[in-house]
Amino acid sequence: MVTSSSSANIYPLSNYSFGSKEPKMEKDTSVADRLARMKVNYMKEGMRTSVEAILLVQEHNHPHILLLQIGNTFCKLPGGRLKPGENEIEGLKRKLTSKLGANNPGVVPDWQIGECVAVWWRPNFETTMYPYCPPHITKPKECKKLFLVHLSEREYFAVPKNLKLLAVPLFELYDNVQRYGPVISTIPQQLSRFHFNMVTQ
Amino acid sequence: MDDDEEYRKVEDQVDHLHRNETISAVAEEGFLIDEDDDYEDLYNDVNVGENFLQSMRKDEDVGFRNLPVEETKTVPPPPPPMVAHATSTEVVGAGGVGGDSFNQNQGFYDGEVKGLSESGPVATGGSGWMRVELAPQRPNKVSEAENVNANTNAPSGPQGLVKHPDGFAGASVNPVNAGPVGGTGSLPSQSGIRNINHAGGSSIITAVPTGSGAANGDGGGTTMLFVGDLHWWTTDAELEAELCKYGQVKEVKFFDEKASGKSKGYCQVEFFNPTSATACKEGMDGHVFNGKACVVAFASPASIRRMGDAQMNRNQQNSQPSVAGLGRRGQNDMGPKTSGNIPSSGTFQGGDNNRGFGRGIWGRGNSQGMGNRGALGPMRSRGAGMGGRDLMGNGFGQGMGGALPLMHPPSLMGPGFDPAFGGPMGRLGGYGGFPGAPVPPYSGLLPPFPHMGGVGMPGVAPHVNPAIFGRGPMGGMGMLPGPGIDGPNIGMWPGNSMGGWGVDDHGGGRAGESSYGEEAASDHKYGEVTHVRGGWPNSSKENGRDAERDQSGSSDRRYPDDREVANERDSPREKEMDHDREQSEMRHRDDRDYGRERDRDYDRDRERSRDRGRDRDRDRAREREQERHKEERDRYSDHHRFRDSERSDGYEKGRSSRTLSKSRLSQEDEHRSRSRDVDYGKKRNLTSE
Repeated sequence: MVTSSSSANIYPLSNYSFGSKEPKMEKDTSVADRLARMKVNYMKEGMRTSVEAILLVQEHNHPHILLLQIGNTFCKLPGGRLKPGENEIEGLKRKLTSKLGANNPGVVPDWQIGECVAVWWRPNFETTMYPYCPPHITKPKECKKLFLVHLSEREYFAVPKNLKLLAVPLFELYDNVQRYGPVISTIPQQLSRFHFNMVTQ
Repeated sequence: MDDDEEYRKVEDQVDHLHRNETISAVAEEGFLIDEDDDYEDLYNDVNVGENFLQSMRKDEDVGFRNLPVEETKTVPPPPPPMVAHATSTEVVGAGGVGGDSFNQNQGFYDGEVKGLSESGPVATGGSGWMRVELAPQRPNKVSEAENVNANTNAPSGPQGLVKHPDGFAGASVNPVNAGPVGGTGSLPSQSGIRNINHAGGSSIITAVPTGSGAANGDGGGTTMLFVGDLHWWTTDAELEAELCKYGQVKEVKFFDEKASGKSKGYCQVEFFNPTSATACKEGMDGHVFNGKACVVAFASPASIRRMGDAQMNRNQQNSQPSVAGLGRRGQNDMGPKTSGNIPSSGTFQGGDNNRGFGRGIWGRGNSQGMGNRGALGPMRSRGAGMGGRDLMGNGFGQGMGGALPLMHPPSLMGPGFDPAFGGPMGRLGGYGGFPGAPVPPYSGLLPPFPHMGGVGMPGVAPHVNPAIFGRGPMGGMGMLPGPGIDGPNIGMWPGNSMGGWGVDDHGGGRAGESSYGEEAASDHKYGEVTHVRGGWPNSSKENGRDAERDQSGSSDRRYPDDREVANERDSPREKEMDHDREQSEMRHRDDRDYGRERDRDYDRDRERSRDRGRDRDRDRAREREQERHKEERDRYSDHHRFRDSERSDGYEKGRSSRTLSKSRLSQEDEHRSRSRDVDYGKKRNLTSE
């Protein structure tokens, strides 16, 4: 279900419970490998589309975003690459379940995918992305879409053992490119147009 | 401490990343993550792929990775090393392929191996980048992806495949390998190793010695061309449509500004066949794309960069005659760096531009200079030398040196450059220049704040809102077409409302400098600049802050890119001491400024608190709110710290670690708040929640 309303409820972090599950290792062991794999995939399937989810919780009356931390340095949004021809919403649900859903299907959240709040483009097989496709590039290599996901009041998340799930306040992301990179550090701007009801209980 | 060590390791690795593409086993793997690693390559200004970076590194011997899959088929990991050494020295000779090879096409082997390919993996060997390509003979071979000419970044070169054409002989001139390879004994072995491409697909490899100096202009690799003088909006498709008329194109690699993604107006084109390349050079040189005649020249990867730099400089200079002197001087400074600095080759471009004010800095703030953190590396050291505040304050001196007289001293410091910030130092040099040139609108104040996004914001702490920077006619700043804006861009950018950029963010124009100033001060952390002392103190303050932040936060900064930033903050540290007192002056701003500081030093907090106390009457409400934010942030930053250090339990298991850490944090907060002034009783209340 895609909602386009500009307001959303966000619930306290304490409403959510977190468990763990088997590790979900990265497929690539180095940036170079990753880019190489990206290149191969591009040849086979064309431009990659990836989708990521912005999951919000509330603490101290301020929105916090759930990020997966890999090792101690890198934070990323839950999400991933779509299969060729896959619908974005369905694909995002699949990725969320894969990253954060418990193994027991009965307990997996019914993900409510909201609107797409940001689109980033990767013009070359490199790590740099931009919020637009540069004018001289006609064949971008990847398109990443960020979706707002509306969590229900209570959920259970199972986090892979090799990852940590952090709830990071928006102010921590804002203007903090060095730590989070351009995509994540500009999420506060993307979300600024929403009104969030900080539900407390 | 573990964290630091790990962090450092990561930093190193990241740095090496560019060079080697390999991450040592110890690196955290998380480090290189799946799709989201957008920021690791921050320093790779030129989107030509990792290969380019590698190519510049002389010692790399590494397995090059970038690529491709295709390569794997045959690559014999082996020999390269041996080849590498030998070749690097010899081959180079000239860059290769330089003149003689021209005829050879393939390979350059005559006698001296000009083309020696450094064997695959290394590809870069000492001389820069060696791309091995087997062009002439087997155009079809390229089955692999390489074919795609779309801006693939994968340089065919380094791919590690060195396929030496045994068969090369077919067409070429003497095969090469035999011996002559500049005396690289390895050559012969190479042939043994390499398989000629026939089967498979290995990518075509031609040795293209990039030779550092070389490139005499023509003959680079004979299959490689430099196509320049393009508009930034001339697309790869348009170019390819024209290129395919001359032969099968192997690859087109555009050079673009890292910070913005915008094309620099030149690219590297590679054909499979040298005759195609020649035909293209002759036929397409001067072809008009979108109303502008392009330039086509033979080039090797190294020389392409040079030509590109020259083009950028030309553009800059066209628009900024006044800074010529500056530029020159900067150039001197940068010169050595440029050559030495790999990733920055693209970056330097930016750096060079900075001299001239960074093309586009005015326009966008994302000028190359701005965006280039990497470039700053070398600059940084110079800045450090500068030391304290005097004048150059942030090390502007480095580039500015002689140029200074041109600028308004205050303006130099104005922007509150935070040297710590991503090595803006280097950039700052450039910036310093700015005021000199355009001057008027700025009132000498801040250098163009260039960056909106925060990346590449020179000298500004990341969390500073760039828009604020400008005090004054930010709009003007941005808009100034004069300095640093390319011809074609001039018309365009202003249209972009550079001014609007800053303006929009902050509600409107900078026109009212004074009115904005207050707000800006409150908004930014380090913003000010303009006030008091010509902004120097601010900058120093900022430096100090950042330095502090960096210091205390270094362990927290896990992000790979941080290493550059962290490194570069070292120099500002010395300044930070001096700034304390200044900070007290800035109390008004301090509140806000510190609010955002993430890993601040608590001593400073105390001082500030004290200062704030004095101001309380004035901005009580705002302070309170800021304090609260600060508390929150402190808490969070502590949270991060804990998190980082805590590798065990809660975090790893994916439990609600946040809850755990939070409790810890609250205790910490309590302590902290107690240490603050009594005035902050309110704060305590907040923190104890």
